[in-house]
Amino acid sequence: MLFASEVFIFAFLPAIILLYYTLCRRSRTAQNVLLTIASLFFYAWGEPKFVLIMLAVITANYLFALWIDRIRENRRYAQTVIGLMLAVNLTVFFIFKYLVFTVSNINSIFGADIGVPDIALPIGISFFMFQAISYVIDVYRQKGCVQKNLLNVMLYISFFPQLIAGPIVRYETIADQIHNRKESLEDFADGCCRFIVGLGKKTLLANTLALAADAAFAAEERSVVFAWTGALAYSFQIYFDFSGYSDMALGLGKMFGFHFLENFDYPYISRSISEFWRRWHISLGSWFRDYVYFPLGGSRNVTKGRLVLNLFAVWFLTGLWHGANWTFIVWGLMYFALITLEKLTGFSKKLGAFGHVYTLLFVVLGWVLFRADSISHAAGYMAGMFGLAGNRFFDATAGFYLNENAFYLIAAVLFSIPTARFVREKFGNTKAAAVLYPIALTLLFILSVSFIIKGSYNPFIYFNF
Amino acid sequence: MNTKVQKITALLMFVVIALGSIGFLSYSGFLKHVGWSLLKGYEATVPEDERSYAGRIEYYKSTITSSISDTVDKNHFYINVNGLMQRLLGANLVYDADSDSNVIKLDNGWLAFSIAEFDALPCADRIAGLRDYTEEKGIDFLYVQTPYKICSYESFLPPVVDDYSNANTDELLSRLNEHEVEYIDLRQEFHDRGADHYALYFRTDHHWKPETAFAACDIVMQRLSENYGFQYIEDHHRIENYNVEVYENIFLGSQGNRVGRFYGGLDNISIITPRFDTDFYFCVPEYTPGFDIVRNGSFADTMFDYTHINTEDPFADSPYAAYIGGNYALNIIVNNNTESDKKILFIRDSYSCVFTPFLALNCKELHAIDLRNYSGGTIREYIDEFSPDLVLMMYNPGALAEENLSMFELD
Repeated sequence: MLFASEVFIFAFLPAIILLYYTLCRRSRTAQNVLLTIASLFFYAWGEPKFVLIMLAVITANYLFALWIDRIRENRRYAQTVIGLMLAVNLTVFFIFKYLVFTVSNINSIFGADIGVPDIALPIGISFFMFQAISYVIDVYRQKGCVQKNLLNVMLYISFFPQLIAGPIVRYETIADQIHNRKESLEDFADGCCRFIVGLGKKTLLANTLALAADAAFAAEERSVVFAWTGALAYSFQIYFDFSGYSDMALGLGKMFGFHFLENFDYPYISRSISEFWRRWHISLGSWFRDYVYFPLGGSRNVTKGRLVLNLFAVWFLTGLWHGANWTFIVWGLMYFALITLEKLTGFSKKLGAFGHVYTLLFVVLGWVLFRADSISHAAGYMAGMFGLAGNRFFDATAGFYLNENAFYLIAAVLFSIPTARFVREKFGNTKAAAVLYPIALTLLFILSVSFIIKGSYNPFIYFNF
Repeated sequence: MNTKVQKITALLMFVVIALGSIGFLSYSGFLKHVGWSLLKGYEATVPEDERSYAGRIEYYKSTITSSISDTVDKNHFYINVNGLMQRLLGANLVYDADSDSNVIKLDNGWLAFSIAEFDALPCADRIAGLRDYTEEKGIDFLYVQTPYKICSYESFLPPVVDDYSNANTDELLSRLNEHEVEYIDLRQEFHDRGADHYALYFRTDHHWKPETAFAACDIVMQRLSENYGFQYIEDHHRIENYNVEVYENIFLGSQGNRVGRFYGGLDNISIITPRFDTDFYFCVPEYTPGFDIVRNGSFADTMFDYTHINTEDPFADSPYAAYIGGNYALNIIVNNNTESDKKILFIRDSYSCVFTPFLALNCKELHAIDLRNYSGGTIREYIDEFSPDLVLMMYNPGALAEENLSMFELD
């Protein structure tokens, strides 16, 4: 089920809120059972058969956590169990996400003729697998208590706000909230406002700019201006799509008393690539930091060679996590190269304001790589951006898309920087704001719903991850 | 932001949600339809050997989704809001979940759908095959090609939109030419007469106006009188011999319906009725099983279904369908006040709704068949049974599309 759908907004969400705060009001267990059943229904609405895979993953990790909790004191035994847990989870992850890619590459590189299996990718597998691993490791590290009741693990891993597109909620973040969260009207209202903002980002900005991006990437020829229009449109699309989804997830969580950590912090204002990744998809970055980078040795007290190796591992895996395609791997390795350079030379600190240009240039080029169907497609597209493909500087198509998207591009720029935060801090407590804020957000909600009902273009980029 | 303001915002959000939820829950057919679908619908609609667990789940899901989608915006509030926003932001291309239904605002403000590239040659071959069949029977045949809203001389299309309506049509007519099939290309006829192409069309709909159909009938009757032995009665083709009642701002056409009344405005529609005496028998056989629509009387009393004229809600109905009542599978019209003894079998599409009444003034008996809906046998069987003097086939360029292949089942 999509958040940005009539079924979710007009049927699923009000029904769950009504049941949660009426029938289940007096019992935390009843509320958790309701949210778990609702989450499984939410997932099954999109992919009924994959619910079984998710349930199997949840059950396996529930058992691993119970096991590890019992034998934690025996370090070697515990590490063996952790190794087994990782092997099981990563094997499942590999089969569903990377087996087809691997077999296809073996066939093409070695001229083999291995049958390519027909395996569909379960929606959100990258998110719920990482949460499952987080659960067992956090229990092992005693950052959260083990759950004796399977339902609570199901709720943590399958909770519908963050199930299919993140953020990757660490177990330590909400371990306590499963039983001891406190719902309040203030949180509920704040959650609603956050949901509206996220819905607006998704339906108005991301979906609309997607049309220009898709047209540019699908074109056989594109002028320099059209290539840049498409690249920028995609850069905004992916930001507002993903951060909008995260806003909706955080808002929905708050409606039920859960507090997730922020997933984005205006990444496009960064002055270096390292800073960009501290602001972009924060939950993924911190997951890799805590479960891969630090266990490998991190950056402190290691040799330069080891540091480079650790960074390589993290960024190779980050690229691979985003998809089974060479474009994602090269995209991850591009960040490996840039971040390694920044760490070893510290050059980005000397760039001053030019750091913004340097960062945005590589981020946008990175998104071209990320969006392209293949490396050669990306190379051709980038050549077009710099007029190296024998293409014209400007054409009527570029003019059309710039004209059609002028408002959305301006809005995208304004909301990519902390404009809203500035306005809130400057005018948030004025009488005018007290009147205008509810009107503006209600209008935003109505406009967003109008786009949903209109059946406008509604792609969800992060579903495949 | 202070919490009181956020609480007001949350309340407003839930008022909006509640209005939408009440919208579909209060619709009397919703619960009944969903209930029936969940309890009996799957068994009733899917053959036993095609049933599966996954299919059943998918059926339930699509039933609930479509039921909510169909009823949550019954008053078209959100479609109008969306259209207004698109207009304010100057959007010239309004995307739809179904890309065939993307609404294009032409540079002159008219709304249109574009037509995809299509291989029209097999269609032309089938038309030629039907012509051969009528020739064997000693029956005349004429194909009439209507224009399309997007003009071949000045398309006014945005640079990113390709439209093949005229290219497909050119291919069809070129092939008909090779087969020596008689045809009238009304695109050329109107152009040669200096017509303002876009004035021939509604702003928010892809159909031509009744006034255009009236003029088209004049052109067709001139040809029929020249080559097919029909009588050309000049009085039938002078607009001053008709009452023209204009209903202002009541028509939101097929494109307008997808973008709301504020994006492209509303159209006027004229009801054109003769001032001279007329007497018709009008019948739609088997409109519903065992029930025929039958009307006897003047042109004004028989050729129109005034229930389609809704001056309150432009989304509720199409006043275009007031002309003969819409796209019936079969329509039989007998002119009791004519000296003509000619019988016409008219193979038609929706452009003919407004054309048929004027054509009926010029013959004794007119049988109009819409092959998208007709299931009473083959067209050749109908020709054998009816023995018309002329088989007249008139399609618009939009007929040349994959989904309309049934319109060319002419064997």
